[in-house]
Amino acid sequence: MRTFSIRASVRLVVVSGVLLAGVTGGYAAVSLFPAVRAVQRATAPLQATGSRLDNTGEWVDRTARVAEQALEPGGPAALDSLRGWLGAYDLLDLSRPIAGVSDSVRMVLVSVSAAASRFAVTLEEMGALVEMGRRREAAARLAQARGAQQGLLDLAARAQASGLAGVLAAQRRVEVVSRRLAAVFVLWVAGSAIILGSAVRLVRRRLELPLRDLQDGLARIADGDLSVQLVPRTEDEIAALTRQFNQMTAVLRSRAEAQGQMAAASVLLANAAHEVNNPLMSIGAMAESRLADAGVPVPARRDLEEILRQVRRASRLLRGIVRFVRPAPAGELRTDVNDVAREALELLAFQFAADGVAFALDLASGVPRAQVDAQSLEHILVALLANAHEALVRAGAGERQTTVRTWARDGAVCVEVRDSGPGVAPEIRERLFVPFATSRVGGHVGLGLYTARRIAREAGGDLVFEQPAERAGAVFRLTLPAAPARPPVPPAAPVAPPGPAEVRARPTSLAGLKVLLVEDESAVRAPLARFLTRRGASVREAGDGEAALALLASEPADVVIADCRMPVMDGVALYRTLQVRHPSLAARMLFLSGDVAQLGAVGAEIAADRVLPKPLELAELERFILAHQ
Amino acid sequence: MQRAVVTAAVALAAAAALAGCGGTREPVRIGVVLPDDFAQAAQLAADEINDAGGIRGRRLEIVRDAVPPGTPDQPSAEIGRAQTVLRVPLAAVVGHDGSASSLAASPVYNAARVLQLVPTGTSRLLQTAGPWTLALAPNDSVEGRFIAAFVRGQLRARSVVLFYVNDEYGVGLRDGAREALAGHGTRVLREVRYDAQADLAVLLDAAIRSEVPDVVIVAGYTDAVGGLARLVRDRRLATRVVAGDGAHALPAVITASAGAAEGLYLVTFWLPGAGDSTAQRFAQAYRTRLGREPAARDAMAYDALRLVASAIAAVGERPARVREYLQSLGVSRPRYQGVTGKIGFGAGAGPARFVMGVVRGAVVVPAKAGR
Repeated sequence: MRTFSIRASVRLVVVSGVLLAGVTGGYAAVSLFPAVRAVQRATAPLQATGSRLDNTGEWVDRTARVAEQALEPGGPAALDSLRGWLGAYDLLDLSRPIAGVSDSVRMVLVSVSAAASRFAVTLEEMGALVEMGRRREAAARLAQARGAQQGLLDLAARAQASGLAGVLAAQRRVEVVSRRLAAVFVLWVAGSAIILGSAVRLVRRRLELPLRDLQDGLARIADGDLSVQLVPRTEDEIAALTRQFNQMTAVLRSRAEAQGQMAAASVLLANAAHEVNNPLMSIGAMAESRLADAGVPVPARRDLEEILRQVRRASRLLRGIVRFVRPAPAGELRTDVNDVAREALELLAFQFAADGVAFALDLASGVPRAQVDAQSLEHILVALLANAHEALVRAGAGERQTTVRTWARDGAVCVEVRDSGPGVAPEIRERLFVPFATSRVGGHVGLGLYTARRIAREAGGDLVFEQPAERAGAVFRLTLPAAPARPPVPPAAPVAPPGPAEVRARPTSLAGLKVLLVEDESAVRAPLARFLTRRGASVREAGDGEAALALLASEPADVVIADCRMPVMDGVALYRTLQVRHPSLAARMLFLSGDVAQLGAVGAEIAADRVLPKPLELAELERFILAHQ
Repeated sequence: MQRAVVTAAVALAAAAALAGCGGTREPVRIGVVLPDDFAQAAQLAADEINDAGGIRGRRLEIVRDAVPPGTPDQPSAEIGRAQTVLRVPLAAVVGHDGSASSLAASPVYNAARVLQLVPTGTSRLLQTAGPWTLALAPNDSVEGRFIAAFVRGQLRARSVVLFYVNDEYGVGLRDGAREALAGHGTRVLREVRYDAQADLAVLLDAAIRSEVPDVVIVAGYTDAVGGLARLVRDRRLATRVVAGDGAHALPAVITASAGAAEGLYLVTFWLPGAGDSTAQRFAQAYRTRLGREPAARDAMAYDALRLVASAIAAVGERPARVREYLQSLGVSRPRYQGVTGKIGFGAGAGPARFVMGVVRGAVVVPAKAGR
């Protein structure tokens, strides 16, 4: 459905409002203005007419009274006063036309002027007659003047009536206009209500509801529901926003699924490593045991030594994989970048070799330790190396070379991973470190470089990309702050000699040492027991913690070595029990663990140096036991 | 297509022009609201113009609301006359007779936006009556000062009684004379207001009761001027009567004076014996047409009509254009040469001049200095 855009709709409402206000206001003004002007035209001349008539009437009245006084005995003295009043006739200005009066009023005013003039001249004659002593004739003139006075009053009334007729006509016009405006006002109110209603409906339908949909969708995403897909209500700007929202949600969902699969894979990998560790350790221990037998013929001895070498190699690889996929608490922020570079390469060495990618290490000697924990650094380097490997494999035939170089500069430690691939296309460079932006295919999440840079920056350094030249490979340069030099260790304070009860000489061999070996897998437990027995220890074996406790109940032990992960009662539970029942024995308890990541969980209660990771070498086990006695 | 339209337009224009040549064109109409005898001078002017081919080839038609000779001024009736002549579209109106009538009618013309050219009205109020009212004559105050100067300078009067008709004309002329006489050795014994119904004998007797003036100045019209001249003669007063232009209507004033008009001084705007060839030509034509001597107001009516006709000939008959043309005379255009002299309306342009005449043997002749 195609509808107006929000911008066009808002404009339509605004224009409608303006038109409504403008048209109705203009109509009101056009209708009212002439009516008001008509009232003004009618009233202003009427005021002037009324004023003139009032003045004339007052003048006539007072002049007539003075004229009466002039007729009385001693009247001639009042003649001067009468002449003064007659002279004031000019001030009435009766000849001056009054603008705007109707013709009927004008004619009445002309008659008023003529009547006033007649009145004045009559009294002029009366004064002359009085002056000449002809009082009777003078009285007759006064009577005539009185008649003219009455005529003036009648004319004034006519003028007022004529003027009022004009005002009344104007007033009627105003009333008509007012009624018309009232109707217009009703229409205006109705129109306003329609426009307002339309505006409210528009805002609700086009803005409020779609925005509420988006708000709800975002809330569901915040709650972890990435399956949200919104349906656009209309075709407008918010519909475009809604589609982008859906697209973003789909991307998030696919990324989350990929991350979830990767997390599950990590767990599986860690568990598999643990499961592989025990057989490896069993194989290794058996091989070592057999090698300890001097009677083993030379060819067989060579085979056993090769077995042992491969076991050790597999063990290192497994440790590295487990360390990589299972997060562990950050270790000390003093890391030898060269060591980590080697370990990272070792993790990927097989894949590099399998794909024919050569790699080289150009590690400067004397590089200070970086102020970052080893696992974080390993993450960064593995990401960079994997990136380089991917680029080289995708590039196809040609030289495939990856070089890791380290050096120190201005208090910083630098690591560079360079490959001989085609480099990064210009359109991708700007998105290299953007989360979920990947040019790779096949389940890549697109977080590798983003996470690597984030870790680098959190450590106070940075990770940047450099393009040496087009199709001249790619260079990622990691800069990390150098760790401060470790302060010199103060000389140890003299320690008071232990008391008689605490004196316990550290054994130099396992001879006579009572060892309780707690391990659920007999394939591991048996070679270890045979080795320790061969080294002179008195070994008892238990399959879980409870069995160990039963053995301890019958006979004490000098040292308990327990696997961390066992059925029924694992090593940590056993440790907790011993802390209660045999605290001194718990303090000397040692642990084996096939899961490196588990060390972190154990470490909260147990010192890390008391845990020996599997697979282990038998000689290593002996040194481990002696070091903790 | 465009060519066809142009051809059609040219054909229509040609047809219209031919129709105009066929004698069906509307005449140019000018209103004349004057007494019949007075209007005859205007009709003379119109006839001369039509005899000469009309205005721009169109006939000039005078639209009249007849006022019988001797009709007293009735301002209220002037409004009706103005409304009557305005029933047909007019380029201008020449009228009315005198200040009071003209003032009464002026609102009608100003409302209708039609030019009113007043030939003889001299009221000061005519200058403010409205933008569509123009006066051909100087105002009353100027005339009053002219009379005062004559009385004082030529007649060497030491005392005067000033009679004035109680309208705008009389009051304006009184004010001009009063102002010009004050402080110059000529006393005004009394100012006497009168109207057409006044008992002039009573008023005169009272005015001269204590002292007989050297001169009676009459700011009024023919009847009163003639009446006062007769009263002065009847009372055997050694008093001369000087009247304003309102009385310059022979033989009415002679009739009104009952033969006592001899020696009566009258202000006029023009005298037949004076002036240039244009004036002489008019006087001759007037005599030939009407068989009597033209008076000043005849010349003024004649000039007024010819002046309006010349304006229409110059700018067309739209009233606004006619008014603008007249107002520009003496300002951006040269003054109009009329029978009564050069006529202009700009500041200082000054309408027609004054002439003091005296009645000698039933005609008015220029007054000579001295008694």
